[in-house]
Amino acid sequence: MMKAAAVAQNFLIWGCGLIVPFPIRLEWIEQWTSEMWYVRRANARAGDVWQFCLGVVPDAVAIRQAHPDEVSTLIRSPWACLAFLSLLAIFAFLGAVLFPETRTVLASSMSLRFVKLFLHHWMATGGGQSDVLEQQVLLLKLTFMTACVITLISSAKHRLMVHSPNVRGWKSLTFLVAKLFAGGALVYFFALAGGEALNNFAVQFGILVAGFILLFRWSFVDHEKRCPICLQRVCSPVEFGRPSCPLLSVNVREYICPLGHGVLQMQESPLLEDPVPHWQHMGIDR
Amino acid sequence: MTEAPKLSPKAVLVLEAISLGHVYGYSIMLNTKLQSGTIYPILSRLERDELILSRWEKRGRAEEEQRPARKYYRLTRDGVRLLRKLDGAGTTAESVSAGAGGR
Repeated sequence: MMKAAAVAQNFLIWGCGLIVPFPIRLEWIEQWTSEMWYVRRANARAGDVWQFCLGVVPDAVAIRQAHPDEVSTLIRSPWACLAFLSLLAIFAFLGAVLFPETRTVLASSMSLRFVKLFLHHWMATGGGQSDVLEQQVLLLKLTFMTACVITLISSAKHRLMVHSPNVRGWKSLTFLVAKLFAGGALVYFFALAGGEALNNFAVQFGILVAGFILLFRWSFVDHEKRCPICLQRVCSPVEFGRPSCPLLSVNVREYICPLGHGVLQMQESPLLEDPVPHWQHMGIDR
Repeated sequence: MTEAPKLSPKAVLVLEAISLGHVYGYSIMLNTKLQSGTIYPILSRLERDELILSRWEKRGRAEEEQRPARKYYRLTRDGVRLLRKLDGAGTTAESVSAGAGGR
């Protein structure tokens, strides 16, 4: 029993270690695992040991908040990002299939009928039908469109189609679409599982809307911070200027592509609304 | 002259615990009665503000005793000075939290 608890605690520490920035991750994990070794031998009760161990979560989150620009290796490269999102979508799918009702919906969703209904509802106004699958399709359509509108209105600076060079090129656009698709699947399965667990259709709707909005915002912000040539996340931020003296020098934060393709400059305290990130190519194209 | 960083009552508690010789995370938790999820972020912030230093104990010694090496904390000169200043001004953790509760 105690051995199982120790394994679970180490699993939790390693899991939270994924949130911590890569340069300090190993040391951080070593610190927590060694301290846990001493806590278990200090005649503490099992509940107290767990209480100590659970502190690993706020500590990892606090460290990540203090180092927001150190991108996790989980999403640094485009393939790692897609693999991570797909893995999360698979976990959400496995959670959703625990419920018998969602199994029926998911089984129907895999059929061609779902695609036909989705396209039909996209063209028509829909409504008035009580079929569960058609309800799901209508729900997806409504939440997707709601999230699109809200995101575009509130995030004017993420008008990637107009400003950013990152969407030029089929590679970049394909990656953005794949990210939205994988993230969309994650949000959908999570909403399905959440709605069934709480037995409330409104919860499913709320999770879908909120989830799609967060997904769009994150996808665009993530895309802005990627090199347009290799799609790797830019890193190693360096700050120039000071926020208190915007007239003496522009306060920008400069990131560099890990493969040396160029630098990305983002204004930290913009004088004008809607600052556009500026990409400076360094001449290496491969 | 740089201004001393502003400390919360919990951070002062942690500094006092370290000054009393509780140098490991778990012993700080037992002494201050704070949760580990509160203590470790405070320790990170205090280290960032250069009020404390963290060190790993000698691994060779830990290996001889068949146990993992442990990270311990100690006050820097700035940390000692700040604690003396707080003690002198009567602003220990108890008085800071008592003052906040009395409002």
